[in-house]
Amino acid sequence: MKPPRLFLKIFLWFWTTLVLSALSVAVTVLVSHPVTRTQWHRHWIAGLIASALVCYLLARHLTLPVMRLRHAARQLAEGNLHSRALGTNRRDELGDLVRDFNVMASRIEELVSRQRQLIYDISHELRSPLARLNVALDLARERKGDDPSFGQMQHDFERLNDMITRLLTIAQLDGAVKPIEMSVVDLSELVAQIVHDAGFEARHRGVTVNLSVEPVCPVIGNAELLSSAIENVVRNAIHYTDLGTIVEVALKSEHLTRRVSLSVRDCGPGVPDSELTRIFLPFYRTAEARDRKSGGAGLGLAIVDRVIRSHGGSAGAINLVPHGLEVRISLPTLPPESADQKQLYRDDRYLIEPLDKPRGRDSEK
Amino acid sequence: MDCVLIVDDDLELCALLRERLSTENFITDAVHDGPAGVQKALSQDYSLVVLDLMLPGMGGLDVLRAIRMRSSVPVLILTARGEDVERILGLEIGADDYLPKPFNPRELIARIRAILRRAGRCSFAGEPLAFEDIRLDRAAREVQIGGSPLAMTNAEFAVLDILLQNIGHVVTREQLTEAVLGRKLGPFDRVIDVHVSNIRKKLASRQGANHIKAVRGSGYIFVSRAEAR
Repeated sequence: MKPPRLFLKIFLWFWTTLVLSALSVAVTVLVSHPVTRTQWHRHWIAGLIASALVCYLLARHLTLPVMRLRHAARQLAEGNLHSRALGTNRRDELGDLVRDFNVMASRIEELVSRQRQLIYDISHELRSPLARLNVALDLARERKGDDPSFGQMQHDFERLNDMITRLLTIAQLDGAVKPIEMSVVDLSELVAQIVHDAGFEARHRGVTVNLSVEPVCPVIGNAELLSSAIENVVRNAIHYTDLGTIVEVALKSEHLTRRVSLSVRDCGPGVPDSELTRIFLPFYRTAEARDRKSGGAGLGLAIVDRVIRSHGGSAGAINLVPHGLEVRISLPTLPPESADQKQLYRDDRYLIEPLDKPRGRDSEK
Repeated sequence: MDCVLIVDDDLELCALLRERLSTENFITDAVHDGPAGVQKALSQDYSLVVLDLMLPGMGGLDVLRAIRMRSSVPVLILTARGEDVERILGLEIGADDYLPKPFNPRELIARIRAILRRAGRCSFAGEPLAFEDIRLDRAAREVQIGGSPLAMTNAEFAVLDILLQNIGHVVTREQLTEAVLGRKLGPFDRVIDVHVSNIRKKLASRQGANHIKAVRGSGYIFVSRAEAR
């Protein structure tokens, strides 16, 4: 935390002025009414303390709204759009400033949430015609027999649907709609399953996926969302790595920071350094991805970013030497000692508690 | 021939669906709002109801609740993709299975067939199963606890049937899904778990014992009352 410079400045300024003026008064008074040395000391110290107190209060009065504004502005910049500055009942210009700031914040919040709601509504509305198209296509197939163009249509319907689903997921994660249901998730199992499922595409491109999974602490999360996020990263790596190269997937626990980290490294062309953070924005694709006609809409990594952030984690990408891209995901784990918390979060509606019996059978062997 | 009732506010979709289902030899009927849906579903003319959860006015969940108060007709719910909470709620209220919208009509037909097949099979007579004070009568399609009947939906009945046939043995979630829903277990598929959870609640409300234990990473096992404690 930085020292409150403005506060110190105002405080010292006022105090110096006050003490100096008091001194000049004292000198004038002393000349006409000489007093004893102890009396003089006592007055002097009392004066200093009183003036310090007054200056402290004055400086605080002037700088407090500035500090509060700064706090609220920083929260706003971090994406907490509900954040507002305190101290709106002041009557001076600083109070006006705080009130104006809050009006601005409300306006921003309203605009952003309206935009998010719009994305959600549009995606939602697009689904009705898509549902009809699906049935109509099937009817056409039934009547006219199979035709390659029907296959293409089907494929594109699925793509459209996929895109809409992703947009809705993004809208949901941006907090426009509903809270996310969380439970205890075993990441080791999840990652192993994803790598296993991606095997077909990897073999197709002659890519080897090396998986190293440490047993890690469980995390609190939504298994489906986490799975789709990690799957996105793994499939991207397999897609962009050079033919016949290796993709490394490593899951580690960092006991000190109580986090798990997942790293996915490929041997592809990487991403220009200036675009490393932008690949996590919706609809963002690097020039290369566009040239390749990869077919993605650029929503995959945007989902990854939002899923991981909504789980209190972070996702980032770095370029490797000589070439390749590493995507790192870091998630907070459930503290192992907090058994109570585990109980609280355990999805007991669907009971996942281990049974005593199988364990007994193991010991019999 | 089987009669299927479609409850969906999208008129054009209903027309297309009716046309498509008629090619598969289903007789279909469509209504577009909740109250009409409840009334028709309770008329006993239909062997299955396809219910869209996103109905205006009286919502799909309320329609389902109203149907379940008086009938155990199989209900297949259509949910928006990603609306997990609605889907789980629908299954908890007593829907047999769900399908995310937009769907492939072939998938819808396969699910309708699977549910109807199971409903038909259950009506075949067989020896009633009895265990402790639980009695499951396939011919009458009825479950009794200590002599008094316990209301169950078709899907719950089928799950309990399988678990009672395998007392003391683990039945995997894959096996249950294939036997009860006539399809493969999908990733993050919680349908069977909700059915089991519903049965548990119903049994526990009568007996206070948890007969059905979950086996982590595997499936479910039905245990005796002594072991349930």
